[in-house]
Amino acid sequence: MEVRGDLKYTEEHEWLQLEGDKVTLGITDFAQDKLGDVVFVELPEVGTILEAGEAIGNIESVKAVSEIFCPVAGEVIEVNKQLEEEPDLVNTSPYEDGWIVKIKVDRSDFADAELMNDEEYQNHCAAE
Amino acid sequence: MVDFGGWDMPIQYEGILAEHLNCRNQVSLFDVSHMGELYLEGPDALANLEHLLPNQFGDQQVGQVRYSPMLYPNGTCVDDLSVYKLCDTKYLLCVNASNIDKDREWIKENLFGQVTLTDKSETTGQVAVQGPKAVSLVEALVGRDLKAIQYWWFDWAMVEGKELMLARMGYTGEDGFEIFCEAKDTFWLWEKLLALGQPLGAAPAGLGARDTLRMEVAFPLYGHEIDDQRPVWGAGLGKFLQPEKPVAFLGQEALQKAKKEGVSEKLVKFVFEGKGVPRSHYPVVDLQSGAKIGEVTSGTLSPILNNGFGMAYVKAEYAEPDRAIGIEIRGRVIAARVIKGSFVKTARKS
Repeated sequence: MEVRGDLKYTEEHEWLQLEGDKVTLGITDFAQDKLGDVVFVELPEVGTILEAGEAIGNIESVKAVSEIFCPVAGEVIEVNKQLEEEPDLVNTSPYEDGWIVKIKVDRSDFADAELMNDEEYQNHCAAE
Repeated sequence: MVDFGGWDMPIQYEGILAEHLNCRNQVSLFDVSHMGELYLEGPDALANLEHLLPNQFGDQQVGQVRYSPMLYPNGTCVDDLSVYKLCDTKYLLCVNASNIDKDREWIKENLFGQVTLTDKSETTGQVAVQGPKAVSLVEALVGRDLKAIQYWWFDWAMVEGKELMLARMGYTGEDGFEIFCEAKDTFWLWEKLLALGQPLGAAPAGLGARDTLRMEVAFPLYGHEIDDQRPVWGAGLGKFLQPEKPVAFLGQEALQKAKKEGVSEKLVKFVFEGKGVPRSHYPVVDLQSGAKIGEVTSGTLSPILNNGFGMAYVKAEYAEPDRAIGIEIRGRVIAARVIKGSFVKTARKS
């Protein structure tokens, strides 16, 4: 299982990367492995205003469906359209080409969200 | 691994999609040892079968397998099973793992005359070999030509002193065999098939692929398309139900009534026109009014069609081919179309 040091993590297995006031969000390598073959990603509309902790979409694997949560408040500014054609990017490249949405956030909001660093996330996965 | 009726079963080995495609294109091995094996033996075995099941067995030959639902008097299902005629006075009933205890007790309660019921589920192993190269693989295992065994027939083989029953059938729509052995020989059989199958592209497949494969050929699964709630007459299993059978059987009156008066809900096959993945229990709605008209029983995204598809019970008036229906997924309605025939063309249909 790959965990990256430059990312923050949620208990629900999303990763977040902060660049300025922009957050990129996806699901972790651990999560994609648990889900199995991803066949469809239900993405939010660009412009959607999100409250912290809100579900922003769904990932359908052959096995099951699972919600994607966004732990921070903000506005959806970009979605990964490539996933409409190649949903399996979530499996093959969870931290790069398989990103799901980009959100414009208030920076202080981001710091408030209860997020884990790589080490804490690794422990969290080990406990599951 | 998941707990499945007390068994630790793998949902997947490599990944459901890869396993699904391997079965359609090469050959896959399924450990189905969890299935139940009940033996009905005695001079009155046939009379009991005819009374227990709505299909007919009088013309079944030794070496032949026949499928049947098993009904409660109200016309709903106790289970569905395959009946193997071992000799004139002995039959093997292969039943669903989660129903073994319930089936055994139900059959016992209804037995009459000179017959005994033995449950050998714990001591019987079973490996299904399915796919276009399955027959070649099983031929390599037993060292003889098996093409003479017709679909829905079985024969015996001895390999390294171990007795195997080879039934040419399966749950994937592909050609192949379900191989019965002593439980203690299952691991040996599995390893042997994997080794012999390597040049043929043989790979293990789990419960996940078994489910998506059977969905693509619209085979019913107990607890989904048939259960103890809905009348079986709506499930489209017509050829396995013989309401006019000359022998009285459990559920006969309910079947005759359903045949005469019809049923309010019918099982249909549908394919998505829009994007999404249908799953069990999603509501089926009228596209115009939005009113609920039924419920999805099984669904997934077809690895072959790359499209959402499934089966659903709908009000009888919506059950005609090409009828447009809606499937509600988390509040959004996806357009779907009722289809006739199978989703995917395979070597064997039933």
